[in-house]
Amino acid sequence: MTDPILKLENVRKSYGAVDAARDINLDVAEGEFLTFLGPSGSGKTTTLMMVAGFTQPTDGKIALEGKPLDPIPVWKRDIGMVFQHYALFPHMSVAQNVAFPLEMRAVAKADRRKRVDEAMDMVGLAGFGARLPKELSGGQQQRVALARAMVFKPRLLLMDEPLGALDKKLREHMQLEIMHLHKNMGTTVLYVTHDQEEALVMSDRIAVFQNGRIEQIGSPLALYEAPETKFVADFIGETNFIAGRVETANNSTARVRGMGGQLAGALDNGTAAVLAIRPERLHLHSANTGGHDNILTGTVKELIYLGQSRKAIITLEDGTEVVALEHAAQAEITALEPGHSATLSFRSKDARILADV
Amino acid sequence: MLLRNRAFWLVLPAVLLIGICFLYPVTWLLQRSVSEPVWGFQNYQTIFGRSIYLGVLWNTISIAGTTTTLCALFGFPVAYSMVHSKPLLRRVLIFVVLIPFWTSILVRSFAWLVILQGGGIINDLLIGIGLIVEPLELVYNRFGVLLGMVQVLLPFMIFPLYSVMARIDESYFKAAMNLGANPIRAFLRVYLPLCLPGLLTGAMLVFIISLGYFITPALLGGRGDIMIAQLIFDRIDEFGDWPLASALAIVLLVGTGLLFVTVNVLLKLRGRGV
Repeated sequence: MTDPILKLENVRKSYGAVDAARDINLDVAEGEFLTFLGPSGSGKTTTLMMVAGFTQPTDGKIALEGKPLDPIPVWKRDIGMVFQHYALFPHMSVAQNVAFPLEMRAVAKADRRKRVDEAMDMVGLAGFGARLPKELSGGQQQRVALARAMVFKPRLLLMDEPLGALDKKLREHMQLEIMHLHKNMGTTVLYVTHDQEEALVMSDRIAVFQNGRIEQIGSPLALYEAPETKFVADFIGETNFIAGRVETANNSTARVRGMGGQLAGALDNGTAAVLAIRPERLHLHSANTGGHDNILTGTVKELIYLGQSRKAIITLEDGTEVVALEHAAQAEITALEPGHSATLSFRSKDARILADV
Repeated sequence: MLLRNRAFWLVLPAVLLIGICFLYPVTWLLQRSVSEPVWGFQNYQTIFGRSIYLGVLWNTISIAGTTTTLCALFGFPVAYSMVHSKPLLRRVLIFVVLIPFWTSILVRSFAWLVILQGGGIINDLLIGIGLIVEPLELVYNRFGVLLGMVQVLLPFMIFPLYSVMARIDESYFKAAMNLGANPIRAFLRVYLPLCLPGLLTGAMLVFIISLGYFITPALLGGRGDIMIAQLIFDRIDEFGDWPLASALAIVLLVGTGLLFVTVNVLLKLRGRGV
């Protein structure tokens, strides 16, 4: 890997006795789309604000292209940012908004106009320059904010929950548009969201934040298929947890309540742990047909029809409820009704054994 | 139709009050100003033709203008602090700003007299610590008038500014800095223009109230600081000259009205982004 464009080393931000962010270590590659994902108050926005320069880190180093950002004030950082509610200047026209960063950089008028036109064209808003921001729809304002943040060719583009104010359909549309823009422009993007679906769709890598720390960082696939902590398994997608203690642990596998799974981290025998299994990896049977790695038995509590799939909520013998997701075609074959007893099977390589904290 | 409209009945008392207590006297003044001693505009010709009256008109405009400017300069930081302070401090500040409203303007003007005059505490203090030998002339001049008026009118600037500033999202300022504006440029290009509606409303209030100010300039001003309201009073009180006083009042009213309309038009144009 070439040198990272952005490097955070042991970054910490404390407000009084509370650490809003700590132990933040991060290398961002040139051209990467990296998402900070986490619940509110998890430190993701704090970290973004430190990169932007609105907040000074209490400890640690942030370097952009190898140079420490610390001594550089916000307005000299050359980092673009799209704010949560866009922050388009309401007293300026759309074109004046987009021209603002160029004006601050004393770009000559003719060149300025050309670059504003290019930026407006890029986001599909050519001809909207004379309007006021409030005369545009939410999605259009979002695009103007993007144009304004990218028109000065920043070294880094920060986005703080930029789609939070849009409705679902428009949000999904804008997700794709931002991805295409990112691909075409090659800008490095740091993206903050609390929406795990958005993070999975858009990112090259995701950093999952919790309690001011990065819990796990990896590709969407790695985070979904191989979560390293219970929080990550729970926060990204839906997961069934079966609580117990670690048994017969070796390097990479162990058992919990007799069921096999992949071990995340080094857990000793006897440690409190959960076996985590995704609903789509649980297979429903009306009777035990044998030949499976692991078996759970219980009673069908509820069946929820979802169109292309069916969700079954099963109460296990110890009272734990688990959810299994079946394709519509498979659901017909299984032919279960609420109150029936059911058998669930799963492969040991599909389950993760995580410390129960 | 009209009689069934609820809004009609709700505004009727106010309309009657204004009609009887305002429109009627104003019409009466207007009529006297053009009908005595004979029909014509001779009273207005006197006002705009004699240097003494023009001087008073100019005094009025310049004192009101200076007061407005000073209120804006002193009021802006106060309003800003009110918006950006913690709730407790904010309440204290609002309280402090409102205190002047609790005492009569007459009492406050006399209080300034006590503080500022030759044997007042400021001069005594400055002489006591040896900074000056002769007492400074702090009152019975333009300085005294402006001091008294700014103190009284400051809240009229602060509150409109405050209500506009409180609605300005801080992300605008952040965005400006992120886009390359240092704090001064971010303030001038983004924050100040966003405050403009509050600044204009406050300025209009202060200026219009200043135009008709009477007690403060009369008590704290000198011979050269006579304003139009005082002149009106003198014309009636000393000379019983109702026609000229009426004409002066009409000039004040029309001037104020023109200003009001102008500012409103400006605000409307700005709202449409012109």
